[in-house]
Amino acid sequence: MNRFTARLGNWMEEVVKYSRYVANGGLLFTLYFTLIYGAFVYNNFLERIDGTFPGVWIAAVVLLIMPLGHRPRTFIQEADQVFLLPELGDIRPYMIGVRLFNLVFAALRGLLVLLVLLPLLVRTESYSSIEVLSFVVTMVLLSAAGRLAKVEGVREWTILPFALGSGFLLLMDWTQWAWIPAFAPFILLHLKRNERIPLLHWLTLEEKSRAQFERVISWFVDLPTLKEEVRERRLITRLLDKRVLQHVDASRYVYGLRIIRSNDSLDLILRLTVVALIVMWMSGGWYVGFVTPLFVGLTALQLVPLFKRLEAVSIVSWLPITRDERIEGYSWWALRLLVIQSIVLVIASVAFGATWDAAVGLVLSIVVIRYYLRRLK
Amino acid sequence: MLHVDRLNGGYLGKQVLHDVSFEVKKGELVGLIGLNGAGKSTTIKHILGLLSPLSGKIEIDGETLDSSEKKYRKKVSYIPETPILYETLTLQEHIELMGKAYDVNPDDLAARTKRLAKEMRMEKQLAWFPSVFSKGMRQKAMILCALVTKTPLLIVDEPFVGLDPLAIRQLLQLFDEYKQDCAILMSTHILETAERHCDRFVFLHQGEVIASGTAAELRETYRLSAEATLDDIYVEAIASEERLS
Repeated sequence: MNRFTARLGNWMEEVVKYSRYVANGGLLFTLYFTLIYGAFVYNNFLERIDGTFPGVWIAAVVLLIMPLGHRPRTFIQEADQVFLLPELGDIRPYMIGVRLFNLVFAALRGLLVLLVLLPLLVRTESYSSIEVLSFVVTMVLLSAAGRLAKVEGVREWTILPFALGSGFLLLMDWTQWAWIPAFAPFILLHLKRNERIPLLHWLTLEEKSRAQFERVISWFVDLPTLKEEVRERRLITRLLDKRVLQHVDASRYVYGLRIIRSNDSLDLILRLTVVALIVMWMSGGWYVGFVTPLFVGLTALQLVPLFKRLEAVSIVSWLPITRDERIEGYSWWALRLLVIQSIVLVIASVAFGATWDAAVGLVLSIVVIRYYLRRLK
Repeated sequence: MLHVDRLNGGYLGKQVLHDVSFEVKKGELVGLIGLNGAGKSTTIKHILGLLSPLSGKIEIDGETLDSSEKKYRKKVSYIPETPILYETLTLQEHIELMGKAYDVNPDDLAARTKRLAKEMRMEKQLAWFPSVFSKGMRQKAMILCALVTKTPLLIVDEPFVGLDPLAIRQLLQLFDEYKQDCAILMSTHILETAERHCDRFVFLHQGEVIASGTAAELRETYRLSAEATLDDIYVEAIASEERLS
């Protein structure tokens, strides 16, 4: 068994292990419900639109996005910096394995996006089967090109002109030829391919990809080692500093700053609120008020593991701050943020046509918040 | 200031410490010396209340963890061997956190921070996030956070790791100043430095205290000449212990 197959085997074992945790976690129902609800809303939305809807423009924008934001896996480990050095010149099978693995996952990502996009295009455009096939191939090629560009250390934006070319052909109604510009980056990638493993670059890619994988898993299972991204957010910090932070106790102070600056808290709340607003806009029916508890629940679901991670490796373990005080401090912030999110979404739901369901949504949100905050203990 | 009395403890299913007893008095810097795995860090974790003892008593300035966890913890600050900092807080914010946690008067905190940051050459770094700190800076940040609290007891675990010679000298001066009205327990492997700055030593071996006292007292115990260094005393203590077992 070569090194790549061994590591692929370890990865598969890990995926199976975590899948079992996720399945047993009992929180899956929130995600199932969101997916079913999303499909229901999307279906209603598709029934309401016709050929005048700019579906092809949306498809062109999606083509531009496809090469971006990939987190390829390389299975490189920190210890490889020492122990893999002697083999670096003779490790082509490993590199081929990594490229194939990422190619498959990039294609899967493209196909997942197509699951959402194709029904829209079929509804708004009158494509032949050749054009549909060409569009599918274009999506997969651009997704793969973006991912492989990262693997080879080529900047993602170098793929964008090709995506722009495909999008242009799509807009010009030459969809059957859109795959040609999407194929072109592979020539560039072939010319710029690495002959030896760029160890540090691949290690960074692996760490980022692993962090993303762990972030998703952490919604269901406690993963104390998960790393977070930090943003300074000077303006919000200054605004809160004199009014709140200076007057609160140590636990509220430390959790307040972490919530403001970590991509896992304030960013998460903002992202999910924006998605909730889009879902409300797309639905526009009597059930719009139920979007509020759904997205408040999704936010709370992710705030709970964040606290457990903060607890795992923390200075406060030896400071004179008891565990009850820490829970109280974190709950204080989480409660306020979730209530603000609920109020914003309830107001938005009324604006999008909710009536009595807005009030039911608010009550359900409070129940959901209380349920998740109890899980902190 | 610190009384450790017949402490038995360790990790789940593994007893590491056996009847460990020693004390650290006000105005003293006591060196906790031992080989790798001797039980130094385990002893420290018990004093900090991060591990629960199987039996025995730990008292800091008259307080125990059982009598009042909060009061007990307010008596002790800690510099760990591996710096642990919040990536989301600047150094200044870490100090603010320490001030709030230990109820330090804001004016005192500001004055101490200013002075200590200057002495440790960390003034510029006060506004920085730990992600841009070097290994030595992270260690200095931990030291700064502990020293601003001015607690009656300071516990230091291998403080010299990652520090440059100038920073080590500065740190030892700060320890000499700190201990004047407080007490310090320092675990270290660097015996030469410990010999020059510690008032007393506690030798740990396989989870037991095999000797304690001043350098002169230990020389006498092991019948060594006045020229014998702490290194010589320690080697003799271990050899004598191994001969006995």
